[in-house]
Amino acid sequence: MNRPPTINTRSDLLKLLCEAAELEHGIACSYLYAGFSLKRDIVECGMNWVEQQMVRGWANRIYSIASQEMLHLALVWNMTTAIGGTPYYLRPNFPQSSKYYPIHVPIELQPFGPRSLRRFILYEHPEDGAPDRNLQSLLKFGGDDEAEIVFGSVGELYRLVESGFRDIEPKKLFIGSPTQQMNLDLIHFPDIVSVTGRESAIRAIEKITEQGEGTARDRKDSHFGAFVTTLTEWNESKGPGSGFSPARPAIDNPTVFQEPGYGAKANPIDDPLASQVAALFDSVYSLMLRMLAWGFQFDAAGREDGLRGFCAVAIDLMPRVLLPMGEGLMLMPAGPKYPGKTAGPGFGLTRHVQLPACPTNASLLCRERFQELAGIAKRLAKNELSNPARAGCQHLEEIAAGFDTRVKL
Amino acid sequence: MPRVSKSKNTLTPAKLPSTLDDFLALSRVLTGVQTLDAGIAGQYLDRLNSSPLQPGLTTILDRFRHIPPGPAAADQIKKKIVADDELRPVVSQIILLWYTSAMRDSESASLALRFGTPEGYFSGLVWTIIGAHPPGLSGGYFGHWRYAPENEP
Amino acid sequence: MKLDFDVVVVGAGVAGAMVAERLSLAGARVLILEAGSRNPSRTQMVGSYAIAPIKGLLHNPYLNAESDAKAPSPDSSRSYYDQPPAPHTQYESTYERRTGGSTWHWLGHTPRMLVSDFLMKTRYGDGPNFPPAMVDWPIRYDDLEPWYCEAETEMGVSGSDEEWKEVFGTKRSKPFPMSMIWPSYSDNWIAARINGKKFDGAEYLVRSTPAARNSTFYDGRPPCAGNSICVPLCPIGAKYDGSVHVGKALQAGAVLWEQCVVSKLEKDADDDSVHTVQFITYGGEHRSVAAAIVVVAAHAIETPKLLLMSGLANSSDQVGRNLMDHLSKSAFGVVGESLFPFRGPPSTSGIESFRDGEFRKERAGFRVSLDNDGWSRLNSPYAEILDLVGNQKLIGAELQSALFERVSRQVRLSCSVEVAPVSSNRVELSTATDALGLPHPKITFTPPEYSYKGLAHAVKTLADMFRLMDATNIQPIDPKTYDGAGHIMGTCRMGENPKSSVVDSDGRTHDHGNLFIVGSSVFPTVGSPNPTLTLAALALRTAQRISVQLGARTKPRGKS
Repeated sequence: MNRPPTINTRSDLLKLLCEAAELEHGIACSYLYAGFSLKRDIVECGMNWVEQQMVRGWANRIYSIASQEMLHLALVWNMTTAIGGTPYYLRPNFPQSSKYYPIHVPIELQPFGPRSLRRFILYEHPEDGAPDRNLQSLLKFGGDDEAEIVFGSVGELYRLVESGFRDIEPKKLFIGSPTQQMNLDLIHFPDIVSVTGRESAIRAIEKITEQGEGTARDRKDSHFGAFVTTLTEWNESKGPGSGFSPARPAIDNPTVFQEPGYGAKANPIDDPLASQVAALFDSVYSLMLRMLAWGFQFDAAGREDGLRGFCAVAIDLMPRVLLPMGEGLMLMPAGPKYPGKTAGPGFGLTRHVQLPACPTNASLLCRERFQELAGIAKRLAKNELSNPARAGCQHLEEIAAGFDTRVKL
Repeated sequence: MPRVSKSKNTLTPAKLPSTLDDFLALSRVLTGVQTLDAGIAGQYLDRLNSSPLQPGLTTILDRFRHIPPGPAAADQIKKKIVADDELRPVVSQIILLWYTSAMRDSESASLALRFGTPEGYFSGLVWTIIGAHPPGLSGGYFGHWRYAPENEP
Repeated sequence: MKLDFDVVVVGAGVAGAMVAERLSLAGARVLILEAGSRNPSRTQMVGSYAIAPIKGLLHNPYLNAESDAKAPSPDSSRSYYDQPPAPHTQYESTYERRTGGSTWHWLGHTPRMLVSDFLMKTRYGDGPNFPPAMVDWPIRYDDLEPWYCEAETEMGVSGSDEEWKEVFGTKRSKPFPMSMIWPSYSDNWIAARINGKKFDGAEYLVRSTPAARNSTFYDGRPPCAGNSICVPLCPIGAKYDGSVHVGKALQAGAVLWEQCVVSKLEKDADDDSVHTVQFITYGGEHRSVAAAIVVVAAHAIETPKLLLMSGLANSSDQVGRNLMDHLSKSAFGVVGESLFPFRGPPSTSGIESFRDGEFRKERAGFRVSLDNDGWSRLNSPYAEILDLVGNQKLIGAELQSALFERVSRQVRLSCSVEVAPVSSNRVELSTATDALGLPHPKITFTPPEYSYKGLAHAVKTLADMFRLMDATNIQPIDPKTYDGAGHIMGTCRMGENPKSSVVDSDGRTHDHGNLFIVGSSVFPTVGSPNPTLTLAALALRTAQRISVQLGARTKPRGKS
């Protein structure tokens, strides 16, 4: 996929913003997958209480970084609607080919460990220069079979996006309505920027790059720095025969799609119960994305209360349904094809329609879908689910039941 | 562990349950939690046996062994053990241990608690029950406290 | 006289460490003398906390038999303060003597003082019951404002620029270094029910509380992960504590000698300069060092104690006087829905509406905090478990439900009331001595009526808040008793007049041109905010004055 060398038109800029959205989105899923795989309780074995403190610290880092990637996606969506586009939430299913983006590092779903951490470091690596020698040796740890470390950073992409915002005449460019912009009240991120012109667009981009790769002066507080620290700590923590095993044995790139050709390189879950839970995860995830994307393009002028309730329901799905379901899947067997391994969410996106522009119909479609999914959750909860998966199902039923109270559009 | 030979005419199990097994089985009913760690159970059994509650614990385990396993067991445990005013302080203490890893000083009028190991403390069950986490252990990630918990029923 | 160092700083807490770093970067040779010891690793301290019998006891992670004997503090021993026993009113606040100081166990809140707080006499002094010792500061909020911004950057403060744009005329010239700590589920629930409603002439408005607690990766430290035991310890270093600047000071070239208890400062024979610092090691050795400048940063009890032991800086007779605190009080109730306490930092939001106004002519203002720790101070959930099993005979799933229902609806609110300065509230030297032969502090403290009136209004406010939440099972409150807030202030007050103050507006003692004091002992009045940010701002400002005074002796080194 080639990028134009200079960005002179709205449609070039929109295409880049779509690529940025895909990347932030895919990378967030990859981080979440690693986060879900980290053990939480001592009773899971493989860690004592001291190691548990460290593992929870790693989970905090990964989830906090994933949350910031979601902020980046929100900023990209604000930039998109500011210039007349609509929020892009599609992405290729996992595993993604390394040829798909110029960053050359494939985006995959893998449990926490040196393989995934190396990948994360490369996603966030700053543009200026190749990895230094310390980093090179850190990245080669684990005898990984990827012989060559080639990368192109996400930062480059944002440099291009910024150039587009600088070069295109703002009066022509910013045709979106300012009341479409999502703010803290609606989207819960204190660092969200309402993009209404060149200056705010550049501020939004600076926020993204500062959090991701840091500044030339100081990388330690960036995602890049945090992942380097995490991999270093992981290296230092393993003694010979230590028995320390911080991650659940989830398979890579799980999928619920059994048909060949659809996610051909992914690993179909063949435990029927886990597969159904994973399918429910995918459905909830898809609904959440559609609701949020709809919220971002909706011009809320005069209807902020209604939009607030709508967004709050969508946002609640993340911590209360997707998080426990995702963690819960990694405590359930992947199936006979994968002895000793557990399942995981595939974040699979299938054919669907976007929610309609009309708010009444959008609400109606959501309510109906919530009822359907709550029904599935209720049925699934009758089986032997892992505790977090069960909690996720119960919360989904609760959120569905409360839909009409909270959403009045 | 004594070996008992299997005979065609009896239902004797090949292995007698140990005190630890009984304690674990009883604890599952009392706490309502199925996955209890055997190592932690050993710690709690030791602490109880070195306390003034030891005779009460022996009586409780005795009565528990005479309750046949099955769906009616919980009810029997309530009637024969929990309802007994003499034994209930020991029941309270067993649950307090699993829920918080604390033992209360039964001599003291005020609530004087003693904890065992950090491992026990961080395995306390009450925190998940109330949708939180053992104070001192991370609850998850920055900002999670804004939303209702992921882990309460 | 041969000088060993350019600067000796007494005390490796937040104020001393910040001064030590700044002066080291400016090229000075700096020695920090710390009475206490260094703490073990955070993980070790978390382990101590986990098995501590009384979780609320501040000192548990910091127990160290040798330091507790040789550098005792009220944290290490209830009997360290020599004060008249109950029923006499007690001074309840305590502090740690360890490398890094009391910020090891602070909550981390960093609201600023208000414009009025610097101008109490001018604005409110014309009432007949106005406390006579309540004076103006010799500086204004605007003088300190740039230093507030610097202190926030140094510590890493998270806050909402939007909410804190202007509070009672108090403005900010720079954004917060990090965006706010997210309010909790219960904060938002409470805010929905009380925001905009009026009480006692003011309107409720819940604001997120600015805090030296990371909301993102900052200064090599992670964002807050909700370990929830800020008091007494942050397991991951997301909450700022003084050890951060101790580390920076050492990196900048400062020297740190721990387990050295400063016992006396000595004046030169010929002039008023104080160059000699005498100290006692734990082994009992008596030693001394000499420096061009001496900075006392030993918190607000040990600092006046040292000056009194030395017979220095006290021509005003104010050393040790005007001891202040904030009167703290908690209210406990139960609401009709689950609010999920025990998550996140112990407090994330508060109400500033009652901190200022004409009422301050007659009674103290106060801050309100919304708290996330439920009824932990009343032994929840331990007491609940014992009650539900012992008295209600519940076990298994029924017990779990009942426990959840009960505990998840428990709420704590709290207030922090300004204490007015009173000359007779003071620190003196006790005849009781510690293991090194140094006197314990003798404390006399009775809150003035001005503050008791404020406390009574604060308690009524909390009751009104509970009413708006339809709370039940509200625990009775005695408005005549108070807890300490941990805010020890006022014992070496700052002022223009050497006859009535100990230090000038630079922090320099009036009596000795090369002796400085940093920390909360210099506050003439205290308002209602937590003092750490203000004392940090003042310390940075004083460091700059010292740097100028050192002048030609030093050449800047720049950050390593």
